[in-house]
Amino acid sequence: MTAPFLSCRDAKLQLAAFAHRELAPSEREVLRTHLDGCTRCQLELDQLLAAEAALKRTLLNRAAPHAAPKLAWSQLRSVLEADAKPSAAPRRHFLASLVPGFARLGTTAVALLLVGALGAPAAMRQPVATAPPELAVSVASAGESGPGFEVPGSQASAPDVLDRTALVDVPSGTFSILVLAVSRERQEDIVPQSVCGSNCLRRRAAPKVPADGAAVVAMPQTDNVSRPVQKSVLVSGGPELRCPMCIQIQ
Amino acid sequence: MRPADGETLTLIRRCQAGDLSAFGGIFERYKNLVYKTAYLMLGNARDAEDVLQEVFLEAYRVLGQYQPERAAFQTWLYRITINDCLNWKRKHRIPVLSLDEVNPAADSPNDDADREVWSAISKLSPKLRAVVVLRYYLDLSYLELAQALDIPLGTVKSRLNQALQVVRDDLKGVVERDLSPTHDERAFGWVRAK
Repeated sequence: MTAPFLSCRDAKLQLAAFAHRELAPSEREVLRTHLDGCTRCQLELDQLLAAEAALKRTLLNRAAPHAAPKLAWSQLRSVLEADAKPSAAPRRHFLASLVPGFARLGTTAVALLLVGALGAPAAMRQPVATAPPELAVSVASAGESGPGFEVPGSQASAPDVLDRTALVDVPSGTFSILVLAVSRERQEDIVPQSVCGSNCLRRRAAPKVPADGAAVVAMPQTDNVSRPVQKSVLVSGGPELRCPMCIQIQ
Repeated sequence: MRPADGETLTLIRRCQAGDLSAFGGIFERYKNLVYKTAYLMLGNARDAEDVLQEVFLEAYRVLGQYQPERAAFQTWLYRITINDCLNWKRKHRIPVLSLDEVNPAADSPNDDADREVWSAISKLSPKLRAVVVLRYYLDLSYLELAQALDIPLGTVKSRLNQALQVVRDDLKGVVERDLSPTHDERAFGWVRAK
């Protein structure tokens, strides 16, 4: 019995599945017979295998140096915990209250960016780009303390200052400030980025690590518990940061 | 289908019962695969970080719907990853070129062929890029591809063919170099076996 005829055009369409052993045995046999007698399709198969090998090699090479950020779980956990225990308070655009163009943080090993005074709650509900002008932002250095916060001096020189939290009392409520990574020594760990303060949860990374290595995440709280809530913002002294979805920091 | 191993299944069950720390275990197991997949899909490490978080947020929210008998956990997770990457691309239509896309040499000390191939991958449409990444990086079978992309097997085959054709058209030089006789082969008058 002669094998069923297979045109070169049809054979070509089956070559990838043939190479991947994804053809049914009968189809495989028909194609093998065709290949035995067709140099053009053999060359086609060779080229396909070469292209596949190149694809595989490049994808592996490109992915190899990359790994998930070390702080990814702590960030995600904060959001998940907030999700699990949603706040009863209405959601507000926390970031809209930050002043644009805050100064680059100092060269201290640990620098804490504090929201010193916030506008009235009504002002915080204003749309994006209408940040209340009366808002002030100040920077606290290691060892400093203030109303409701203290930046431990002992941690200032440690190269692995990570996941520190502090509470800050502000007129409209209590804010938990989580310092993710702020040290010159660990600049490679610093992921300067903004976390959108509203519900979209999108983060946009800043173009580069700020030279003085400071990154702070500020989390609005509705009570005095330092458990982070879903609204969060990670800011740094880098160039313009903006979340394209709903809020801007400049 | 690659079944989820016993430990993953245990973690999943604990998660489904509301144990957040068990989800941390799942995250640790799969974070790099998801991150690397997102990176290969988006070509940008920062976007990949965003998608990594979104994927696991989504996974946590819908974990109760995961049925081990229907698909491997990885495949289920890849489906979320690819969907999030496609959504990400859709929402961020204005292309933001990463450093390694602007300057392919910035990412790693790759040779010319590697840069040409990466450039060819970058030119693929998101759907074709997805099938290439899942097949050639994650080594998914056609059935797993169909599950991960939620498309019929026939569509898997046609998308793979289409993607390979685009890549080969773009990579004529690389493929021909790979197929040309080596110095030794030329020196000894060998020809490629047919």
